[in-house]
Amino acid sequence: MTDVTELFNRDPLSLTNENIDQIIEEMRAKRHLFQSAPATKPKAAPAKTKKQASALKLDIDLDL
Amino acid sequence: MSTTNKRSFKDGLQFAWDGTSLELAQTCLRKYYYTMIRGIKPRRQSVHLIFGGIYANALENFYKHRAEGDSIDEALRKIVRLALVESWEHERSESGERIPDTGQATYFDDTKKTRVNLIRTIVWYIEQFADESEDSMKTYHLQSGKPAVELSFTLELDDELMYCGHLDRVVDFGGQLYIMDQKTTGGTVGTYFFDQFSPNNQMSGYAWAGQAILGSPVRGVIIDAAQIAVNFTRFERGITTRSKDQLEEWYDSALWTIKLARQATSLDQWPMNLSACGNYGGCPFRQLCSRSPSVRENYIKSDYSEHVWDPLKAR
Repeated sequence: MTDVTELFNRDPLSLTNENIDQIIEEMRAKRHLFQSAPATKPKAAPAKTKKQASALKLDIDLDL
Repeated sequence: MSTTNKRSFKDGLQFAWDGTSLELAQTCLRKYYYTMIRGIKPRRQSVHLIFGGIYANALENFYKHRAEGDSIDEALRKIVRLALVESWEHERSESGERIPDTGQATYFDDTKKTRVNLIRTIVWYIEQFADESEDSMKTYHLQSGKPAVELSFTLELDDELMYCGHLDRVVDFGGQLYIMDQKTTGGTVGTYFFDQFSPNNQMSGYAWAGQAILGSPVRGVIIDAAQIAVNFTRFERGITTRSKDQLEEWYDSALWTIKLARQATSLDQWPMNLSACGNYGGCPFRQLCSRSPSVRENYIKSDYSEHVWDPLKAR
């Protein structure tokens, strides 16, 4: 089986359905791993400054 | 100023409007001028626009394939392939076709919004939301029987103005109609994130157009927000509603803005809204506006490329 990293570096026009399915399975496995990880209690976030709060809005994709 | 070759202009004035051009005119008339009248954009596109654009296009195509009868797995395979191709910079033939075995992966200048994380986000979204049970949200079907996906519209705003756009998908949720939209962010998704969509020009425009097209009340817009982190993607679904009164208010404001922009075009006057320069990570024309007017044309030649935004362009 080909390494998924190698598949990402390949011209996507040359990828077979099996290659695409392998990428999908890898991503599904990562999701299951993420979901099965024990939930950690989030640390209390420090209060945001006004500047930090506005920065949160910065990378919302715009439709321009 | 050159508007002669632009389809959305007549006699030098824009008559076909969409959410993007309206937002530009509301934000800053100078920004409207550079985008709609001059037709320029920065040569280097924002990673957020690249990531968000490919992601939204992939999900829109997913529901299109599903409506055509594909299984979830078949549709997912098609959109993962599409996203991989769209995030690869092939050399192009004279006719614009991609030339196989050329180019390289698009460089995503971000630690979270990377190409691998784009594919991860698409797969995880489908895992979480694609299997819609009968008692939850489902794609609305038009009276013709066709699923309400990929609905392009051109509606009359008044005697001489049109409002154009595209609804990715209309859903029936709890017996009420909603427009679906997707957003991505590197930040945490919570109340603060969803608050920004009310009031919001794009969402009101969707709801206004949706009810006009469907001939039925549209309750609002359901926003599936994806928080993109380095090692995971987390989704939150938010709803922003619009009442009939709110939509009438949006309509009046939109007409006012459009008439103002048309007046500015007639007078060739483009005042800057200096309080909007820092919005959303900074206006793409901020560097241009910060330069002395005498050197701006040279700066445009070196750092901007031609880009005609056409509200009438069908997807």
